[in-house]
Order: sequence, then structure tokens, then C-alpha cells
Amino acid sequence: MDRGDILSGDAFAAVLRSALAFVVVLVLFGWVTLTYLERSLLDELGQDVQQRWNIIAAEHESESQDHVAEAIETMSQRTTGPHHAAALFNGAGEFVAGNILSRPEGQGLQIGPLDHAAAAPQAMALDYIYFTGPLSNRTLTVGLRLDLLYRTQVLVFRALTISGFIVILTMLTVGYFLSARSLQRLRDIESALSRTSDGDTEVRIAENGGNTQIDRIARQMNTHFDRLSRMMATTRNTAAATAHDLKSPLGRAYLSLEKATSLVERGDDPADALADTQAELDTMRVIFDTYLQLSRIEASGTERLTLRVDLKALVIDMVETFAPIAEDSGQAFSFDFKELDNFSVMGDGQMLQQMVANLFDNAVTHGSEGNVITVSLGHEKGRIRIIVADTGPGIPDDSKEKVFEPFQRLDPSRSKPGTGLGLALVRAIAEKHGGQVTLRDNHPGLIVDLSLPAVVNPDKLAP
Amino acid sequence: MKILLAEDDAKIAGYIVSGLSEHGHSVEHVADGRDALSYCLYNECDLAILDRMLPGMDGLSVLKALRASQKPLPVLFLTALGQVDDRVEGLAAGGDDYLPKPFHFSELVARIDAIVRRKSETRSEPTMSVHDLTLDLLSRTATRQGSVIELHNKEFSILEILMRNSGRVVTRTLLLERVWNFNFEPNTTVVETHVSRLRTKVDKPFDTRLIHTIRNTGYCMHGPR
Repeated sequence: MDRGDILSGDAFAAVLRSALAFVVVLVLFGWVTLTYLERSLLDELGQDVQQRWNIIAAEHESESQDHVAEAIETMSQRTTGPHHAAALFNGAGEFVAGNILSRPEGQGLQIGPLDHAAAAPQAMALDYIYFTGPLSNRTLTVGLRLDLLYRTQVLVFRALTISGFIVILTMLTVGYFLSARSLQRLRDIESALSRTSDGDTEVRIAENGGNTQIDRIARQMNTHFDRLSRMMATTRNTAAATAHDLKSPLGRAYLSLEKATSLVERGDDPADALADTQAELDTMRVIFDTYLQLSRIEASGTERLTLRVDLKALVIDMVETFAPIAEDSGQAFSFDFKELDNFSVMGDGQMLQQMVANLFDNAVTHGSEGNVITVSLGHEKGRIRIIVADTGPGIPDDSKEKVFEPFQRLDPSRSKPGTGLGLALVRAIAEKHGGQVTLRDNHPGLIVDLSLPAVVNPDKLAP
Repeated sequence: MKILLAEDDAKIAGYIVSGLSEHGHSVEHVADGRDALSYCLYNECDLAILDRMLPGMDGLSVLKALRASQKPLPVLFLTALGQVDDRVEGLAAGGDDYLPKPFHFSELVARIDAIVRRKSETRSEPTMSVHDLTLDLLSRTATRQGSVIELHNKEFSILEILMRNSGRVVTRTLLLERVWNFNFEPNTTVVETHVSRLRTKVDKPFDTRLIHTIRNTGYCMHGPR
């Protein structure tokens, strides 16, 4: 994997931004901490210095002046280091005793360098906190060097810098690996997409059970791939079935045309054979038209389903159309509904008409003499149900779902007329209208149970 | 009758030109939409048959341009775009009829007749008659030789269309469209069954047959010749 790609990845960029924010916060926090530390330490040290000064001043009150000078001398000799500073100066500002060689300017509590006897030259840069005050005709200065403050500041500064450095290093490392991992996932997705576009329907993105955005997208894409491969399989089957269903009439048309040609050669009348050819070509045309219509319905949106369609009138019209056909072949056709009920649905009148016509057509086509077809229209939970029951041959349970697929016909000899698209069309139209269609057994026969959402407010219906 | 045919498929155009010529029409053929438009604008003709998909300018645009120029020329669309939406689009633009490919030649002839007659027809007649059969559109009754024939809705509609086109072929597809509003073909013998029932009532009790079957095509109503 290219390092540049990883470093430009979202995860790494996010970590980089957090790291920058962390540095800013750390600098601010460090500055506040160091300032606070300096103030409180100076405060404490100042009190300490003042206290020492007070003790010596108190001694000066009770003891003789020489004693005080002696005490200071002793003290400054005992503490040989440059840490403590104490000195006595006479009225002219000259050194009397102690370890500060020259009298500092000013009075009171101050911070600044002192001319310490034991100080190494480079230590001169270090500041003292000292108190200078008059002691009868002399001046007493007591001070403490600020190395504790400096040491603490350096320590805190180091601690903050090192921990900050470690934290940022950890963040960047984690960011790098996160970025590498998400980049790997993206690469997986990329390769899955390109393989799918090359026609590989089996490819899936590896699931790791995670719940990051990429994981969710990967899962979504896998679902999409599943659907896609199902659709492609259906399309392939349909294409094969279309070819098969179109080849049969084409083959028959060829044969009858050949027959017509030979009849003409013999000087006989070819009209019958030509009529057969024409009928076969008509069959092909109907299959084409119906198939186109099916794909149109499946591909169209719902923007045209805006008319109120009175299903009762529509069903009555279709019963009037199909009942005579049923009667002519010895089948009975009856229609049952409540006269006063409103059976309006929103939709496309012509599609719905074709849906009902296909249902009736199916029942009549597959029934034989003695078949009883009962159509009923009813309401149930805001839906309108059209039930078409017949006592014909029915459909075995394992085929009930299959007959909705295009070109799935139970009768392999194709002896009954039909395109094999009737029920596929019924379901496509029903689903386009928000409806469902299911098949049940009528023992014997078939029940087609179709439900469509009823118009919510039928009062608005135009008279 | 003078007919303009705009069709880019030379073979189909050839069949149509020779077929319509045999029927006594004079046919002018163009293969380009722009030629079709300029022909219609600058020449007198009685009907234009337009393919929807034409090179140069599609048939729908030709029709729209014609209608925009107030040319009252009847237009029949002939096209492979045969879905309901396409029909609606074609008719809404001012087309007079719409015949999807593939089609039977007799269907084309029947529709040309229907369009031309519709244009010249005075629709005020409330009654029609063929031989001894009379149809009253107001009272919706059919009478033959003085006796009233009871007809169902569909039978009445079929008879009305047949009588309106008496002497001409009415195709099955046309009946499916006009009587049932079907834009698809049912598997069952919808038209045949209803026409057969109509025949039982209109023809069977009488000595002269008025409804004649035209094989593979449709029906034709006429009296004895």
C-alpha cells in the first residue's frame, strides 16, 4: 500500500487534526500551569525570606549589634552554598557581615541578582528573592536563591513536553494504522465494484462485524450485490425463456410458410398455411408487446397513478366481458359485492383493467367444462380485496411463487394459450399500486387473493 | 386520395406504397422528417402517415410543427413505440390515430378509412341503418324487420362501430380498443365470443346475414350485394 495514500487517508487526517489541537491545548495548559506554579512558589518563598528577616530583626532587638553580625557571619559560613544569602551593611552601605558582598538597591521584598560571595560565575545569572530592610542604623538583607523555582519549572516543562510527545506519537501511530485499515477496506470495496462491473456476481466485501461508516457501507453494498445478482439471474432466466417462447412460434411460422410455398408450387391454395403463419407471428407480437409492457410497468414510477378508479365498475365491466366466454365453454362465472360500498383506489385505470382482465382470462383459460369462477370484492383494514376463486386444476404449492416469474408456465407443452406473462403482469401492476397478490388452494382449484389500498377519503370522489 | 408516407425503413415503405396504391390511393414517400414537414406544408394531401422515429426530425415534432402552422391535415402515426404512454403522447399532440408496428395491412387500410371518414362525417344522425337493420343511438335500441333486438352494452357498442363502418373492414384490434378500451390482447376469444353473441341476435333469426367475418382480420357489415 502506498504510504502517501495512507497519510492522505481520512483517519490519519482526523488524527493529525486532533494532534494539532492537542498541542495547542498542551501549550496553553503548560503556560497556565507554569505561571501558577511560579506565582505560588514566589509567594511562599517570599514569606519564608521575610520570616528569616524577622527572626534576625527580633534577635537584633534583644541582643547587641555585634552579636547579630556574628550570627550572620556564622550562618553564612555554615551554609557555604550560594543558596542562602544574608548580609549586614552599615549606614554607608558598606559590607559588615554575611555573604552578600555589595548592598542591593532598594528596600522591601525584591527579585533579582545578588552579589553572592560563593556564587559560581555562571550562577550569577540566577535570581534571588530577598528582603532588605533597615535595622536601626544598618541595613539587613536576607535572600533565597530561586533554584527550586527554576528546577520545578524545568521539571514540569520536561514532563509536559515528554508526555505530549509520547501522546502525539501514539496518536499518529494509531492514526496511521487506522488509516491503513480503512484504506484497505476501501480498496476491498473498490476491487469488489470493479469485479462486479466486469460481471462477477459472486464477489462480496469481507465483513468484520464492525460498525464504522465504512463497515456499514460495506454491508449495504453487500446487500446491494445480493439484490443485483438476484436481478441478473432473473434477467438471464427471462432472456432465455423469452428466446425459448419466441422461438416456438417462429419455428411454427417457418414451417407453415414453407408449406405455403410448396402449396403455391403445386398450384394449390396456400391461404390456410399463410393464415397459420400470420397467427404465429401475431403470437410473437403479443409476447413482445406484453414483455415490453411488463418492463415498462416495473421501471415506471408512481407519478401516473393519480386517478380515482372505481374498481366495482371496472370489475363489473370485465365480468360482462368474460362471463360469456366462460359460459360458452361450460364454465360458470359469478360476481359478489356489496352494492353500497365504495371500492375506489388511486391508480392507472388502464393498468388496473388489464390486471383484472388477466385474472379473469387466466381463470377461464385454465378452467374446463364445469369450472366455477367466483369473483368477490370486499373491504378489509383499509384495503380492497379482489378474490377470484375457481375450481379448475389449481397450482401445486411449490409452484405458487414461481408462476409470478415471467415465462414460468406450469404446462410445459404450452398447450393453453398465453404468453406466460399474465400473472407477472398482475403482480407488477398490483405492487405498483401498493397492493399484494397471493395464491391459495381452493381444494380443488385456485384462489387469487389480491388487495389494494383503498382511497382514504372517498367523499371527495367526483360523482 | 393523396397520402404522404414518412417512413425510413425502405422495405416497409415499399409494401405500404404498393399496398395503398392497389387500394386506389396515390402515395408520396419520404424517408426524412424534414422532407415530410416541408411536403405537408407546401403540397396538398389528404392524409399523412408518420413514423415516430425518423431521421432529421422525429414524427412527433413534425406533427407539432404542422399543428402549430394550423394545417388541418389528418395524421396517422405508424411506429414501433406502441406503449400506452406513446399513444397518449401521439394523440395528445394532435395525431388522429396511432398504429403500433408490427401491424396487419388490413388494419392500416381500415384506420385510414376511419380517419378520412371521421373528418368528412356529419355526426348529427341519431339513427343508422344497414339493409333492414336500424340502430337508434338515442334510445339505444336495434330494430330489424320491425322487431326490437335486446342487446347488452358490449353488443350494442360492437354493432354501433360495425354499422358506422358499414361496407368497411373493422379489425379485431380496433374493436378491442373502442369497445373495451384494451391496449393489450387477451388470451381468450373476447371479440369472437361477443360478436358471435351479437350475430345470434342480429343475424340468426333472419334470412340475410349482415355481419361477415374477414379471416384473420376482423369483421365487415354489409347488406346483400
